[in-house]
Amino acid sequence: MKRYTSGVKTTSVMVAPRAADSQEADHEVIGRVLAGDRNAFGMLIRRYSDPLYRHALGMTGSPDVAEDILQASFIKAYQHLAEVHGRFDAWIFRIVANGCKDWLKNIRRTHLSYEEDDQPSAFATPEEELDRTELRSDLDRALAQLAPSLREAFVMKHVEGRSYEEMADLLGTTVGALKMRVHRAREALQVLLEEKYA
Amino acid sequence: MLDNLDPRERRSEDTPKSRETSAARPLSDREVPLTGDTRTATLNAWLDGEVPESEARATANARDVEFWLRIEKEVEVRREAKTPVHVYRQIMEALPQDAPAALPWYRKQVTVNPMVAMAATAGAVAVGMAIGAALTKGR
Repeated sequence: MKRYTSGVKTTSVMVAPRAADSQEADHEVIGRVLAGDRNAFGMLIRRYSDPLYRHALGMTGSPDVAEDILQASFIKAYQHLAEVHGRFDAWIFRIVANGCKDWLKNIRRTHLSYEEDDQPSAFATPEEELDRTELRSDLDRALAQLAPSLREAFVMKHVEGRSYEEMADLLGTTVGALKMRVHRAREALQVLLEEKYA
Repeated sequence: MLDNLDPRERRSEDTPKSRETSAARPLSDREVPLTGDTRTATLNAWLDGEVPESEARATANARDVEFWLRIEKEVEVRREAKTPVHVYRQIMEALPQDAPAALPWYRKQVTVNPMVAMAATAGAVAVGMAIGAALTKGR
């Protein structure tokens, strides 16, 4: 099916790891780690940390929390590495996603912000940058009001740029159900933000 | 509580559900059409990359298209987010010094092929015959 340039750019970060490390398959790296090569685990961290960090950041809205979840998840993955039976990327994603959901369940956030975010800005002028600061905190607040499953779907689709098929694969649900979640999330976000931005 | 990290056992909320049980699912997961009109459907199709922006502009509300372009500009910045450099070092330092524990034999995956099945059956029959013979001899 022809894909058009739209509001969403679809990438396949989990399926295609970075080229530099891709010559050694995950299961081979895992084998080395299990045999006692602790440093080989660093290869898996470098391969998958960015998309996982983006997921945690999108779900929690806090760089500090995202770092903590990422660190805890990789340590947990290391300790239980012998239990990987299928794809490592899907397995570690599930650990991170569950970490985010647990955090959302346990912590009641009243304010979410990317204030500590030092990501480069795509906005040219100071006025645009000011607008962006306002928009990002409004978007964070709106995202925080969504049900976790809707937020997860929106973050995976829009922030991580995944295809519905890839999302279904990682979350173990159907493409139809995920489309429904994303559409509902968009609808809810538009209702929450349109008064100010539409 | 220990986390179940077995990828074959998904969390209950992630378990794929059949269409027959759709009524039991949360409303947000049911595969029922949204109540939105054609404009909303076109907008979603554009955001999903299924129709070009020109079609979205022609069919959907122009304000909605502008709204989502603005949101997309913000989201694009987030899409470029990279793991801070110090996190890699922190994780490596926090890893246990020992190699990950091997799985105990009772948790290892067993692959049953016809040869293994036949050998197991033959073994079970042999054990059964031995027990039967011992019982008969004991009477």
